[in-house]
Amino acid sequence: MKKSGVALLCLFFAASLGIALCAGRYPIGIQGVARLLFAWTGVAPPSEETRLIFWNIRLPRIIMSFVVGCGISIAGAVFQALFRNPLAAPDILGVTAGSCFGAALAIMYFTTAALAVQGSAFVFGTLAVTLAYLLASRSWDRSAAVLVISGIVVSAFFQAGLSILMYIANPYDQLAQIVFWIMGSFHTASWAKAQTTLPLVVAGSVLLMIFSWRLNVMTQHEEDALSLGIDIFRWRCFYVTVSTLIVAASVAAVGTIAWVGLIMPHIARYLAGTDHRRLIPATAFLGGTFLLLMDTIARSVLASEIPISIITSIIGAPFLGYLVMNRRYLGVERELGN
Amino acid sequence: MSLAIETLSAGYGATPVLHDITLKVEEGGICALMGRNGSGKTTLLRCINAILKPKHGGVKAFGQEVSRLKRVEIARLISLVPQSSSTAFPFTCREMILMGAAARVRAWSAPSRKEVATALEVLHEVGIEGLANRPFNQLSGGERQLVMLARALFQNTPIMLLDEPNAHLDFSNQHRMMEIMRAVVKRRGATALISLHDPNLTLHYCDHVAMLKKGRLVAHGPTGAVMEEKTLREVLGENIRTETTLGGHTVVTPRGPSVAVHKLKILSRR
Amino acid sequence: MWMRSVIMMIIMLLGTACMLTGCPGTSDSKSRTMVVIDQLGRRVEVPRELTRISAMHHFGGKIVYALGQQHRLVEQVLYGIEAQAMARVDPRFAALPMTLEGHAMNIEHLVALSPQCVFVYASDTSDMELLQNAGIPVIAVKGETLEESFAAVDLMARVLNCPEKGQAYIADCRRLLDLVHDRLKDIPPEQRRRVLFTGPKSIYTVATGQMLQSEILRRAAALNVAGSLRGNWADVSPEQVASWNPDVIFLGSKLGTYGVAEIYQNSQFTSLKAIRERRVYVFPSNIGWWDFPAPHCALGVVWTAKTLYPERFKDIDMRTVADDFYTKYTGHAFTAMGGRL
Repeated sequence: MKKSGVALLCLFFAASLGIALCAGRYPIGIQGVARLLFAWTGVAPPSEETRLIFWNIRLPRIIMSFVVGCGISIAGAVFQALFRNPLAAPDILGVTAGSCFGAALAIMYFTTAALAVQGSAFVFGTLAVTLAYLLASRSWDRSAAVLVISGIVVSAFFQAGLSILMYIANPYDQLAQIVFWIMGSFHTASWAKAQTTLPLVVAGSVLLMIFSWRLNVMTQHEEDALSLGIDIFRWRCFYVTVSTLIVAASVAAVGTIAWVGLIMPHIARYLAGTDHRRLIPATAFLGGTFLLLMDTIARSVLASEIPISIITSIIGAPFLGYLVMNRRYLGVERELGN
Repeated sequence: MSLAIETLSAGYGATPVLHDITLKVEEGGICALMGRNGSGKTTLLRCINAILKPKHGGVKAFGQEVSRLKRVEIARLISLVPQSSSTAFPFTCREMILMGAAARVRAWSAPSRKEVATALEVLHEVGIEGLANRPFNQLSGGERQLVMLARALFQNTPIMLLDEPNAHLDFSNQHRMMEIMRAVVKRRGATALISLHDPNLTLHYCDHVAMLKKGRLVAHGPTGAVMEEKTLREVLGENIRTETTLGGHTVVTPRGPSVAVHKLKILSRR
Repeated sequence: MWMRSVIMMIIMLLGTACMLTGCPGTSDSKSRTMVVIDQLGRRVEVPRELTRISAMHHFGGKIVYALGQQHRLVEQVLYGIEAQAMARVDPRFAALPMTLEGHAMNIEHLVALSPQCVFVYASDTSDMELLQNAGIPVIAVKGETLEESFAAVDLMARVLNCPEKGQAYIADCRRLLDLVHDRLKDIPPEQRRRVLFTGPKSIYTVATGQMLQSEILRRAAALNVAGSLRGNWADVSPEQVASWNPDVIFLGSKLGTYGVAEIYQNSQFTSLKAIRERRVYVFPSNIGWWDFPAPHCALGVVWTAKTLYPERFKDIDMRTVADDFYTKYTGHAFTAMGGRL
């Protein structure tokens, strides 16, 4: 990776982290933040209230937005490699549709349990991908395209289920809650939520980083990859499973975050090149920092929270348009429709 | 005996393509695979590599049944240069070639610095070191073929399969590729099985030849013995004849006088 | 040619079908009608003697009951928890048909019940259009503020020919509001309780300054901490809530996703004054929201005042007030319908 790229990335991260720590609706100045961070050296914190707000509200939110950003960006890069499609997103196999359905189901019928919504979303998200896999395995064609079609079918199925639930939901509370959940937000971030989400996302991300070089070979045509010695069917299963667990855990915790999984791998590819050994860590870092910055904007700029998908869409969609026009970065120079 | 194909029958779905092929390829040396389009050359190569499962019979590489080996083990024995290639992402040629190390590298690591240096040497061997940092997708068809060849060389296997590697190459590169193959085979003691269309290349560079017609093995053996006009006409088509040059080489040409000779004859008649 | 005769036959069939469906049938005898101006300024002509009426949205329906005109209803006009509570005690209500399916009104079903007039909430423009296209007179009513809802009561009482009942209802509501006002008017602004009113969507959704909830709080000598926000139910971050640091929190929903117990255990709220002093309450009631636009929300004002300043309302028993009010204006006592405070 270019040295300038590394420096730029680190600067971006440091700036975002600094802004995130100091910004928020509850005013804590830079000095206050410093005193809180160094409280263990004996410096007196500003006040008990400030300390509680910083440690219980702001910090878990910062950590969660960064880690979730890492996770779904990596998942996006992995899916793009597996399906040889620069426009693949992490929800291509139906994990998001399944999670939304699971959450809606829990909001309608199982709201008494505290972790019901999160757990149900996770279970149905992984169930959706499992179903897509089972459906694809029935076909004699073992290519990746069949898996994508199965994913579309399963997505449509769970979307229909979600629509039915939304139709019969009480419009004043249940429906509003379901829509709210789907839109995605980090404001429910707390240490409890971090405990249930982060281990899975971090472990999955680390695993994908370790096995990242192999993805280079996975992008080749099936026959070429087999000739080179990779059992693509088994490895595809592995990569899909780990990525799905990451995305399901993220969506279950904070709802759907649009565009990040699709855009971040492209920017990272521009900075770090196509070799996945470098691309995966770069994507993680970039995605985490980006989402951290976006969430800071979402929670600080206005008195009311801006749904984060709106911010990521406003920035993501035009950027994707720019990428499509400048096809060099999609790498589809000579071959048309390959 | 590096490669032993025994009573192999294979096809796609209900369509049979190969019928009862028995072929033994000696260790060291280049064996050409010839036949018209659709005679089953690519299918045969796929069966050898265990990408296609045969309906009957089997393939043994160095005495081991290929279908029983794990994918990684096969890749350490056999490499394949495909007919055409492209990639969805802008990998550089260097990165493409490094993929050849997939069977050697542990799942959780990447090629070492030594491997990277070796990859550059292979690029040099094939003569395309200038392409190292260029994106693969921006190359011409012929340049891509050379990169694929380099990748298979980097894979460093005792058996190499090449599926019509000359398809996009210019005249001099066609010969250069065959020269490289010959040099590699001699140096490493490898075995190469190349499917070719040009009988002259076969005559010039290959030790053995196997001829397929409609999925059946019609002839195989040393090149000089097998490549005579009768067999060639039966396998490759009626419009062929062989000639012997003044230097004693056999050359295969189409039947009937060439345009240039025809014009000369007309001129000389005046 | 047979083709031509087939086409002629199809055209004739289509034409007949058009004529039959376009036929309005025998029209109602509108020998005696009156013209009213509704709350959107529209002129609407309705029969003087209305025997079949309906109402959309909770608002109109509750006022019909308050005016004692529920015998004229052709369908159920209460929904959700209110409908369940009413169905428990009123077999006549339970027997009425319901044309609301999911979120949409089944217009054909409603037309089949042939109401002579329907009271629609002013913001439901699509419902209004549907009904007008079906030839049913529509009267728009609204009650974003209490004064507006009193105007709605007046209008509906005139249309239903019971103006004295309307006056009585409004007077009763005003009496409750004045009672609260009198007892609290001497509280200076800095001593008013600062309240956060959260909505049914989630704990982070709050009532803005433009909503009725703000007015309820104001009339009960309380301050809406989110009063500077605009719009309908704004979403805020937990830091914003901490920054406001309300004295009291009202929960606007009884859904289990968040209840009083969960709030106390939520680590994000440990710094709040309302949590430390255990002043989190669920806004009533379990058989119908008392913060919903309708003059009924006067009860909400009384409850708020009693909850925030209990020492000034020791003699007021909320249950009695509610029972009284409900008996007069829905026909059944609050506790009889299953109401709990």
